[in-house]
Amino acid sequence: MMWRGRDLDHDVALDVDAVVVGTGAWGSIAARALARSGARVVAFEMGSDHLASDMTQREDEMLPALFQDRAGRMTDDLAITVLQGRGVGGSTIHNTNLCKRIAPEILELWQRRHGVVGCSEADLRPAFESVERLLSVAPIPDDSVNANNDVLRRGLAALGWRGGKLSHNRTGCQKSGFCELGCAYDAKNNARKVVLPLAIEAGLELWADVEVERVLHQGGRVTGVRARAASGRPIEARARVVVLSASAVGSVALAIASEVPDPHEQHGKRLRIHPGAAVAGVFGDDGAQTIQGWKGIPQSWECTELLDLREGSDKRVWILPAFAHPIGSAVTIPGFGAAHMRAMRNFGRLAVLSAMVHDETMGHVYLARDGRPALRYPMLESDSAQLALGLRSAAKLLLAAGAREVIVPGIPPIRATREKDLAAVDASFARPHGLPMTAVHPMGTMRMGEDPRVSVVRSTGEHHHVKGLFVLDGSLFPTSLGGPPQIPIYSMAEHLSRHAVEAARRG
Amino acid sequence: MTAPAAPHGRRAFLRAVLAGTAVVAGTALASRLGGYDVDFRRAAYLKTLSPWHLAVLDAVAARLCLADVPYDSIGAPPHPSEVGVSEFVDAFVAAAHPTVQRDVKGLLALVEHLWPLRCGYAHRFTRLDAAAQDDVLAKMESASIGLVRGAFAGLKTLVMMGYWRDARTWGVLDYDGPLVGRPAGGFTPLRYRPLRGTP
Ligand SMILES: Cc1cc2nc3c(=O)[nH]c(=O)nc-3n(C[C@H](O)[C@H](O)[C@H](O)COP(=O)(O)OP(=O)(O)OC[C@H]3O[C@@H](n4cnc5c(N)ncnc54)[C@H](O)[C@@H]3O)c2cc1C
Ligand code: SF4
Repeated sequence: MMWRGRDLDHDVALDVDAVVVGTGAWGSIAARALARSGARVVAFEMGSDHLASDMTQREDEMLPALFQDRAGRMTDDLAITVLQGRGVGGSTIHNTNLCKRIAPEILELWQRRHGVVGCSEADLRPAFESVERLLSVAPIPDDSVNANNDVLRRGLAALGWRGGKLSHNRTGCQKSGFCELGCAYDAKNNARKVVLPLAIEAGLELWADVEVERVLHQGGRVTGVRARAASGRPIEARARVVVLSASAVGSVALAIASEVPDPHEQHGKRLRIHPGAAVAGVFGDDGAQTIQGWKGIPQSWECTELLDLREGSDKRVWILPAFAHPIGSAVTIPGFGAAHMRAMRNFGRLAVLSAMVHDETMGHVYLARDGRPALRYPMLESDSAQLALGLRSAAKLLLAAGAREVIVPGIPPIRATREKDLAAVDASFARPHGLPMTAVHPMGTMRMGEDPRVSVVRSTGEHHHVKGLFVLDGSLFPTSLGGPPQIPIYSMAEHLSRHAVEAARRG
Repeated sequence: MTAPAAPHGRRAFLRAVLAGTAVVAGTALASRLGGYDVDFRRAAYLKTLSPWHLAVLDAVAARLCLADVPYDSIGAPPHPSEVGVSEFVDAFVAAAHPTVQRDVKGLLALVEHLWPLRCGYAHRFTRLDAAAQDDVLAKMESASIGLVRGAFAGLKTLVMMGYWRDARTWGVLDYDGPLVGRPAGGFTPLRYRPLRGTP
């Protein structure tokens, strides 16, 4: 059953076995596992429930509707835009459906360096397989590669670089190209379409438009949550298990606001975000429309030439196509006035690639004075150097694919027609405030591990200091992933949710 | 854990902007604060901004979106005032968190009063000629203070959103806009619908 908090006209008190906070990739799987076990489980989601018919394919309407802070979430120095979902299904509603497992190098690092147990590649394989089946993950068909992605394919072929076609979780895709604004055709096999209906069938009670304000705990044990519906009505739910699946920003913000014990001051630390920036290539002659990158599946090819996920590697960038609709493009294209308008008139002839860093910087999440989560991300020089490497390499790929000119949208922008003109794209250029940066993969902040001095939750996801409190979302990754997080999150959820189920049974 | 010491924090910065603007207001520069010429019919519909904010936004949008390009020479994109950029920003900001509303108002005060002074102009932004306005905005975009650059990026985002959301601007891009409402085929029906109402 699903209820809408904005329609609630009375106070509510619930007595259940388990509460799940947030209904994204992880929350949906945890809720399904709990409901299937026979537990009485309720999930609270602060955002609304968006139907496919609500998706208008307009940036000005969908960005504020589907993203946290109306798509205005930024690091506290206003340098990096951080996009995160809000609504039933969380970030899986607007994501671009790329699917990759956690790399074995990363899982090995977590065990060896971060004391994570029971999460080896072999441990996780059944979960990866069952999630991929559930979400119908499959290679993107050749005939779904659009012109922007084909530019990357051509660049890779010309340079002989490593890369290839990606897998996705879509069925019945109309190739409309509006993925980041939600799918009007319900083609995404996301948490809302696939996982939450199964959880609801198994008995989950889901409340949309209800924000959890406080986790209740006493004497080292969780006792429930206090929440508020969008109508203003309070809801209190007593429970012996509470699962925080409110994302790497939302879960820790809630833990801090709830004064969850943190004797070693670990809450909010080690935030990773995969900071990224874009490079545009201009194709064709004036007036010719050769790319129209907004049409078709936005991302189907990747470049992994500069991605070596072994510890200490000096290749930590992932290159992907990244086309935006008019507003996103206008914001990223540097400058203003006549020059900006001239650049916009090239819209149909631009191919855009983005470079995303597998980051070492450890930012942190804290509560601002108004109680809202705030993000600090003092980007390391080494990460800026990686971003610069990625931008130069993306530019090289564009030129190799036939771009007349490439534009790196810094302040001032760098325009180049030959590779050697790109030398100025260095670490001092690719720094926060040096160019528009975006991050779409916040992780960390409540990392897993067996040592409570340096981690927040055990390898089971249960909080070191509060029994019955589980953190099950991207928060618990001890390092950056260097790849798309949704399959890692769904699969870790599939693998770890049994511990929350056992705790709900045990009482 | 609450906010750690944040010498460069955005809230601290915006508080400083507001304080700076108050200092400006308190000086002999009283002439900077009056005399905004905003149509009362537009002002009557404002949701959170004041008429002077609207005047600043009108001026900023005119420079950011088109500057002096003769419109018909580049395929006649509409002027920002025709598509209601400032009204859009007002409505957009009104729906945001109160802290964001305060931040945006502080940002408009920065553009109108403090930043022109810092750039060596004696007049407020809305009283400068077009070339001086461009100079003020360009210096904001490339400021050595990161937060000022960030503030410029925020302002540009709001204005560009207000401008490029309008279908009349899409012709310039050859962008065909949303496909919904046109035949798409293969629609997958939803597997469940939420109940209206509550238990
Ligand atoms: C534009 C974009 C494109 C992306 N593309 C891809 C891609 O192609 N492939 C990929 O693998 N990943 C992609 N990602 C990232 C991926 O979607 C996310 O990392 C992942 O879905 C996060 O899952 P989560 O469960 O940890 O958190 P979320 O999905 O963020 O879910 C958290 C939920 O909790 C809710 N919540 C927060 N606080 C509270 C509270 N106090 N009370 C109640 N509810 C609360 C939020 O509203 C949200 O719905 C993309 C992300 C973005 C922004
Ligand atoms: S490209 Fe496919 S999945 Fe993306 S919005 Fe369009 S139909 Fe939906």
